[in-house]
Amino acid sequence: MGTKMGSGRLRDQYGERFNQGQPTWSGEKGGECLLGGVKQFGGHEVRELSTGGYELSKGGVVVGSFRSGRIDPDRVVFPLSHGTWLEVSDRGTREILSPEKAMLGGLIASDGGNHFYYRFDKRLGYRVSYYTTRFASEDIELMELFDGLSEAVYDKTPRHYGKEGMRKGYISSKEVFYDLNDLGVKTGPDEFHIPREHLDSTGKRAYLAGFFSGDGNISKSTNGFEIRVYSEHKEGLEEVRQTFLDLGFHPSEIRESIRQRESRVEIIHNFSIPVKEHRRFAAEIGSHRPSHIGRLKKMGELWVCNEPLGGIWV
Amino acid sequence: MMSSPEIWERFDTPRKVRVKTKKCIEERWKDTTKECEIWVSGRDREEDVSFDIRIYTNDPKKVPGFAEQLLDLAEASGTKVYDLSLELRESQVSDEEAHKKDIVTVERTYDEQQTLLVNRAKADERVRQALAEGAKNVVVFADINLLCEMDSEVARKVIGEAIADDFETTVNWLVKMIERIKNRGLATKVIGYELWRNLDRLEIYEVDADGDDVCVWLGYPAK
Repeated sequence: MGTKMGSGRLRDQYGERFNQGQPTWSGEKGGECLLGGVKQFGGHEVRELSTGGYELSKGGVVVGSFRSGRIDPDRVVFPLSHGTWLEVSDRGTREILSPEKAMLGGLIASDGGNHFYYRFDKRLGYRVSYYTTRFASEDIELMELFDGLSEAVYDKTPRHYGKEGMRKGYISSKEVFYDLNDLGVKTGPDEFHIPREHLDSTGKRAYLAGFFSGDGNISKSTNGFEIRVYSEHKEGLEEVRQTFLDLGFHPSEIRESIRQRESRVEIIHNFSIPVKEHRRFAAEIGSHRPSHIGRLKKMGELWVCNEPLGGIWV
Repeated sequence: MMSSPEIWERFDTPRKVRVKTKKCIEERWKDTTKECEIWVSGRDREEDVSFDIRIYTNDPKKVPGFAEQLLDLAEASGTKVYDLSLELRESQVSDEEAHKKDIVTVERTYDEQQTLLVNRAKADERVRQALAEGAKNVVVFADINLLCEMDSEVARKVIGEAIADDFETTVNWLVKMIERIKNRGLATKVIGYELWRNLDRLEIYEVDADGDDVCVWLGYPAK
């Protein structure tokens, strides 16, 4: 995704990314009336149109128009498609992920997969490509979250299979596969990457909530609770840790949990959130795993969330 | 000579694993193969216990069934499965996997190690400061690898391993898993236990003073 930023016109970038239509495009101003509000963000100007929507221009040239948008004090964001927003601020422009897409990325990074493979079809007589984006969980609530986020971001409802105890859901879509693959959400069976360059602070919190719902742990110890994040993939886990640091948390260094055998050693990596930041974790990140929510409630750190994402819903 | 074929991918069902393992064994088991080790590793998300269960057999026909059972056993307890694999060996490596101590001896070893770790923690500046400010007890937490060797009528040997930082949690989890392994007919009785820790590598990563207690967490720094 990032490689397409700044190359070619917005209309072309859009077409390249999704190949399914173009954003509303004025090209020329065409006599539309502008409402009074003009906001400057760096070299960009954002105008609210009397016909509804916004027009974005740079150096007097209109570079795009959008049906909707949200103007914050320090930026403006326009929805593109598939859970991607265009953020315009004094720092320039970038594509960012909506909280829903960020959370979906976190879920897939922890307990999901994004696969592409060929299989020879005897009936057809040639190789057929398969694209699947998957998620597995023993919790129906997390499966429903995966379904809801997939529908919100891609307008696709995952199919389910598997027995009681471990539910599995998948989307078969080339478009979804490539969109997530471009972001590096899942780079191997156990490897993942966090597209931090495409996450604002809300997106980072949503990503972490998704990831933590899968590979996080809240456990009761003799003297209170422990909050840990696990992964086999040390580099990916370091990115998770870095994302916590970006948000002002102070996670521990990464440690190893070792399975010692006569013939080999297996290592799972983890880091923890310090006890002093548990309350803040509950308020800003939270989890959607029912057992986590139960334990956070027990910790007496329930946060009533007014935002659509990023904390525990009650 | 060793080989580690891939018999499991995330999202594979136990039934699919059985089919893949059968094919793998048919292709790879040779006259010189003396033993097969099949293992599953994962983490119980509810109890925060990591585990590893391995079965050793010299009967190629039993391998697919063991692989299927191990995945089913791991997934049934609501766990994250990290790996399910097998190794074919030309020697009986299971002879080296001997864990025959009784649980009382293991607990005594654990207590001795805890005392040692508490003394080490007391040398830490943050702990010293907490004690100077009125804290009375130092409580240390560090990973415990508890291994259990089991006898089996269907396999040469079954080994269970649980890892957590609380002894009671680790023992209770392993005892429950042993019962589930027995109920599936994979093992008949416990032969013994063993505690594994690399004390030299453990380092303090968090200190939290709370009332009378100073809690100290130790872990193995990532290499």
